[in-house]
Amino acid sequence: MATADYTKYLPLSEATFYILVALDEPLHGYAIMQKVEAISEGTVVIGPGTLYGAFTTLEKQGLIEKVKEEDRRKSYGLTERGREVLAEQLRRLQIMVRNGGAAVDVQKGKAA
Amino acid sequence: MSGNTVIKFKWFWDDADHAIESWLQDMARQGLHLKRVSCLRTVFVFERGAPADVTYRVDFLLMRADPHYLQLFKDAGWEHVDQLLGWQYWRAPTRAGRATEIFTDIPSMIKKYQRVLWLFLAAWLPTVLLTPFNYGKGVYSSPTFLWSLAGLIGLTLYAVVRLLLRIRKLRAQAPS
Repeated sequence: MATADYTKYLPLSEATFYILVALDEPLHGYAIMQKVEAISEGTVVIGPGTLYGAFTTLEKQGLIEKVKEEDRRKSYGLTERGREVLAEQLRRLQIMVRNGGAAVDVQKGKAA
Repeated sequence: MSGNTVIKFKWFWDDADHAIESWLQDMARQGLHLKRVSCLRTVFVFERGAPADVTYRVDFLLMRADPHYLQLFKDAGWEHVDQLLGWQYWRAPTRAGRATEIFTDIPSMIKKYQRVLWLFLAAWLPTVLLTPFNYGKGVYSSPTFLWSLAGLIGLTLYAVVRLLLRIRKLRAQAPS
């Protein structure tokens, strides 16, 4: 099968990107908020209103799915499509990092 | 009711959530803590207590708050004060260095106002569509009724325009 077209999901917002990354393991809402803040070294903080809306959207898009429900807390995990979208986003980010790095190096070279 | 209850009347448009939030925060600093909201969000019931530095945030849902929604906010340190006509009133103690926003990106803030617009649409569309068919029949033949209806529709349109302007302003702030 040809590679599916994921462009309609991309680019992911910073918050969405980190929610998908955090859901590498099934987690419930507050655990996601804590993990995102920790792994992003405090650069990305997700509020509960934003996260609740993201759950609805990502579930509708089929990027995440509910895996467990206990004590009024839903736990979500990445779907196959979610993993593929994340991989495609990562590939694009790596190209960006390469290009950005080269441009910054050129500028440094000029300054030197 | 005890003498510790204070009632205040105030009108806010639907795009004025930030005005509500800062007004409630001012009240809390004076020791008035929100307890209930009623009468189309014109009556605010407060309980007198110790002055406190509290952050208020308002959300809007098209359906009654479900348990998962409430739990997620509670886990994140927010206290649910009340809900009225879809509006959710949240508060949390203001602490230095702590995230005190329920919405942390612009797309989710825009979506909140879009939900309010959906409510207006759902509430008004049937009436507006049926008016030409009902015109001249029953209450629809009473000028008083028709003028009141026109007035209400006018007010709703004004509120809708304010919301659209608010959304446009947020869009202009959004990256990309």
